[in-house]
Amino acid sequence: MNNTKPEIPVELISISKSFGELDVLKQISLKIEKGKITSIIGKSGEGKSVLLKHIIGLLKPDKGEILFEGKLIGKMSRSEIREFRKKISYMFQGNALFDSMTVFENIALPLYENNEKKEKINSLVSKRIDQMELSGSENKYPSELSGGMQKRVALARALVNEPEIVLFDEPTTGLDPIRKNYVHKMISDYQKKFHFTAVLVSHEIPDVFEISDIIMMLDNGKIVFTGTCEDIKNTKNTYVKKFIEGRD
Amino acid sequence: MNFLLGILKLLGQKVIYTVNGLGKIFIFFIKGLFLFFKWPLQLSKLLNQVYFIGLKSVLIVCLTALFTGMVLGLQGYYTLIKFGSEGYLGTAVALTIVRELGPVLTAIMIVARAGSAMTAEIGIMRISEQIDALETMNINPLRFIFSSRIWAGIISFPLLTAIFDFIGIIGGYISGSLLLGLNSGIYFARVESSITLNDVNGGFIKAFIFALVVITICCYKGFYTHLQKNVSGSKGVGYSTTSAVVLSCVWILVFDYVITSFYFNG
Repeated sequence: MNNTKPEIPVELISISKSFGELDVLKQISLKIEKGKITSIIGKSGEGKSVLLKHIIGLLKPDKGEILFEGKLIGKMSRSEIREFRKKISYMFQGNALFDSMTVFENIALPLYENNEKKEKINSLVSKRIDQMELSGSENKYPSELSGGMQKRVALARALVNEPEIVLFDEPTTGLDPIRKNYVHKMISDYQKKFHFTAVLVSHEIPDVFEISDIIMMLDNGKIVFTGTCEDIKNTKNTYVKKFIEGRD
Repeated sequence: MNFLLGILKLLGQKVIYTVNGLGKIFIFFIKGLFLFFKWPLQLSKLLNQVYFIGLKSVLIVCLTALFTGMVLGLQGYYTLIKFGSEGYLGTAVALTIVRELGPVLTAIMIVARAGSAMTAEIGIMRISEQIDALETMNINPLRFIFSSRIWAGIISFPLLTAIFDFIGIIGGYISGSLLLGLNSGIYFARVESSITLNDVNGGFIKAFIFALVVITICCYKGFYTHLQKNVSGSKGVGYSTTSAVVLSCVWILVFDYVITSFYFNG
């Protein structure tokens, strides 16, 4: 039996966030385990993306603390923030690709802006383009690509810096079932290949269970379930059970 | 009494809101201006923006200048001939263009052509999460979006103003001398004798100030598209663009008056 304590790169402690009079997150505490895929499920508009944006620092909590490798993000110095941002990346729901840049430029942007050498940029970007099977599309613009290819470009950009943590915000929204499975497989395969920690926000139930190590369910601003894929399938919690079975 | 307090409260809120807004825009401007010098310098981006703001505006600026000069030539000629002073047409056209119309109309044409496009482009970047994506990639969005544009404006506005001045004076010559028969030697002699270095510098100072005002307003409006009240998405981008164009034009005229009253008071 393996009793080693799991490494926790990200920890949220009693996070609360409101927009006007709407309380979106209510004293949420959670831990993200290193090297695993954690999926956050829940109804639309429950604050899953808001939660993800707190982890990367795009939103600041009204109350509570976020720890990255044991350090409070809110109290990090500029250089610590830069280091933190180098280790974490985010794949947006709508991909957020730069429409005026080619596929190559989109993937190279984080490296170029962080003053990497040209040879290193070319080699890293070409490697990612090969891995994501995007060869031949380097000089195309995002608008010239299919939805699935755009997702791959977004994933290539998210992985080009070799981050330790990747946050996926509904990566399969708007895709047909075949492409949905393809993107899920892609995330799972690359996670195994690069060993990054993944946090995935998704509505795709039960498909997302197949690739997840840990499932969390967010409801009414709180985490109402945390467990493995088996745990959620066998849960006695009627509310969670109804949700995953798609019943009212 | 309560009614008066209500009015005062409303007035106070408006003043605080306006001062807050001006403070935010000033910080945005200062940060963007100096972030340009952070290594690595964004020289290719600067060149791209000079091309977009400057070079691509040359044609529209030339056309505006030509017809403005020609209209000034016609109006000036018919007015001056009543007093038998049509020989001063060169003075009237040159001073009006170099001191006032050159910098003001150039700035307004750049707002219409490049400023509106800039706000719309940045606004779309905001609503499609491209600006958020920059932050997640450890890239300063203000530097990425605004710094090269403000310096490109500082380079382009005075150059385009100089082109406007030149073409405008030629326009005055076309209508005054070529069409209406005023002696061309007299026209250009008056142009040369009436314009001083002080007038030219005044025009360039205006162009420089207008560049700061226009580029800052247009970029700021696009950058904070998502913070507008009651509008969002593509409608929000449209609203930001309109608001950037209107505000830029109004502030061009306000600053024009202020600079004229301080600079050309002799």
